[in-house]
Amino acid sequence: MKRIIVFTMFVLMISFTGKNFAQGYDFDLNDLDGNSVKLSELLKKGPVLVQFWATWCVPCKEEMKALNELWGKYKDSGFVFVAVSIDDQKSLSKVKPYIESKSYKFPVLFDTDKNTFSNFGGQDPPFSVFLDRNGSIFKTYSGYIQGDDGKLDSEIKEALKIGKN
Amino acid sequence: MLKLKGAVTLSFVVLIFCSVSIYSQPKLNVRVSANNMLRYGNGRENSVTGDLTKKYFEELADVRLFVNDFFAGVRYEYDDPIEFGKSLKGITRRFIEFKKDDFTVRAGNYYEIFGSGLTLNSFESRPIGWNTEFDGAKVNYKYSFGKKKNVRVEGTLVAGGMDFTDINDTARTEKYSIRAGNFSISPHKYITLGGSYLFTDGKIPTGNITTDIAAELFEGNASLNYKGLALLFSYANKVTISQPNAIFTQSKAPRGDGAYGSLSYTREGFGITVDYKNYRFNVTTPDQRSANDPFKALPFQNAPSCIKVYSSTLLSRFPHNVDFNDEVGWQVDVFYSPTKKLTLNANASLTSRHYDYFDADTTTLTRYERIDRSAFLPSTKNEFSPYWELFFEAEYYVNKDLKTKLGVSRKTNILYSINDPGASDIIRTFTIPLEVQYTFAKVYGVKLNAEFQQAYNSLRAGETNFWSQLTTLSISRSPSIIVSGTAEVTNDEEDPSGKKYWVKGELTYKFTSANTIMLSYGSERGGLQCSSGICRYVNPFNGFRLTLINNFN
Repeated sequence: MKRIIVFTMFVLMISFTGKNFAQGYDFDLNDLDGNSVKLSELLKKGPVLVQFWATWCVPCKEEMKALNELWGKYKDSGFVFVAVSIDDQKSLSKVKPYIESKSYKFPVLFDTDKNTFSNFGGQDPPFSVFLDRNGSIFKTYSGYIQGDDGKLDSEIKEALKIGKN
Repeated sequence: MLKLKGAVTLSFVVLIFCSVSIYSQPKLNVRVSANNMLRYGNGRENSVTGDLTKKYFEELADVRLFVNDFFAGVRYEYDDPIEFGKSLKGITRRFIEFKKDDFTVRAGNYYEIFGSGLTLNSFESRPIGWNTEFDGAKVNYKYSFGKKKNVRVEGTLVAGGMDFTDINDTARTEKYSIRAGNFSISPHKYITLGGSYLFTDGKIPTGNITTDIAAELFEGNASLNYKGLALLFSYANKVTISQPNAIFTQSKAPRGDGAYGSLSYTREGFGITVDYKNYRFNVTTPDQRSANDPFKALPFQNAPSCIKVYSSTLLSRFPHNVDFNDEVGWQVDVFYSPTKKLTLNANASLTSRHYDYFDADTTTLTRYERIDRSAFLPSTKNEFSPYWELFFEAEYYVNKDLKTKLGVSRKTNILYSINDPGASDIIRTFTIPLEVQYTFAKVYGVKLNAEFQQAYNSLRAGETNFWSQLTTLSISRSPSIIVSGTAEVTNDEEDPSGKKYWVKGELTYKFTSANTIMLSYGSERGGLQCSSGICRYVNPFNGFRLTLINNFN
């Protein structure tokens, strides 16, 4: 227990030492059409909300529906939304059919080995990371509760203001 | 193993040399992130034979440090005792990674997938105590060239060791040391061709005797992704060579193979996927089938299961345990949204073993021989231990705040007993799940889940037909609180828990958007839990549970 406390203290102390984008944070994942998509490239457009989801995760799909509406509302202001599927080999082939059946137009990426998911500290989906234009993590979300879209709406507005010239 | 340690040390040295590049960079970008999970439980585990006190305490902390092009991570674990599986205490994961543009090198612990996972798919699933993590080194490089950089190549090399312990027998550990590579090329945006090679040394215990094996796996795969059409095919071949010992007096070198294919077609509002699997990594006679067989599919091979994955409780209650050694099957899954408010999902799957067998010995001894057939497709005959399923679900948004979902599922799972066909384990279920969700005053939510299941189990000594009913009611207030209650009732006289009803209350409180505490008190029915086709039995539990999940980014 002593070690855990020391560990946690260490983490909290160092969390304040830097807020800049490190390349280790960057990802390079394939989209539904096999195109390579880099986080560093997406950040050039504006703040990026990365949602980690899976086809078997019911709250993920509810959150995705809400995020799709918010993306439609704020994409012209620079808000970028990407849904990263952590489906493994057993359900991977159903990702594209699900997305197309819902007529979603935002980018959907594959993180089959869950390396990107774990790099951001994801434990269970839905898990989302909101990065501002500078690449700093503005907010992390774990789980989804009905009605969370109201809070997300105001946080997108806030993130759009950060780093804007 | 010494060579392996040398390789890991060398990788660290290489990374230290690389670290010199930090000093040439004008700005030091440092970030630390961490996540923590604490689990505590105190209660009783129920079974027909009696109740036992069950207490557990588990602590798991991951810390990651990012410094420019470097990334290092450490996991600390502690338990007193662990809920199930093998106890791990201390630093159980550590790695350092260097990433520069399209080049990545890592030394330490890692997971990896090659292609469709026929050769290599290592992963962790804590609910079933599964962990096929490697300790060693991994290098990945991507390169694009051509006029529009439209030709892409990618290669991965891995080396490492793994001690694998199954939750079913925590005193038994298999040891593996692997060297493997994966290569893929996309000569055109729509086409990808790839191949993998893996070599492993292994030590497989059977009682007090260990069998030394060496296995080689080759895999080839091709995929086509053109507009709404996606096609994927993978084939892997495996040879396992055993050293003579008290069990196998002569060296053996059986071959096995596996194939997986998927075809999907999508257009706006519609998507269909057809999956096909044919896994023959260790097709043996019924008396030779064993989880300890040195010639089985290796624990880090985990191919697609081709079976639908459910999140609702009763639909997951009688799952099919995929046998990657001997299984052939297909699955069709369709999504269709005729309007923005309505989404339909239909799924059908059929899986079976490849062959039926007969006793060819005319004396009192038994010698099984297989009845050959074209085993390209699964069979529905009991002798082939078939599993089949039909599922249909409709999701309808009455308006923005009210959602309903109704499904129906029919499953049959047969585990055939060749010695006594009358003692075969036959399970048939008919399940109806219903969900109604309503959001009001923008932040409040009410969710009702009701599931009804009619089941038949041939192994019941008394009444073989029984039903179960589960109801969950949740009330939430965004963004922080969920309160829920679950009640399950059955008329099954022979449930392993010896009970007929289970009641549980749960409270989830999010004190920030990524920090959550969950408390529950009551009884849980337990049963088989599955992850990636691997299933393990989890005991019924009655008592208090606490889970604390933290994420510091």
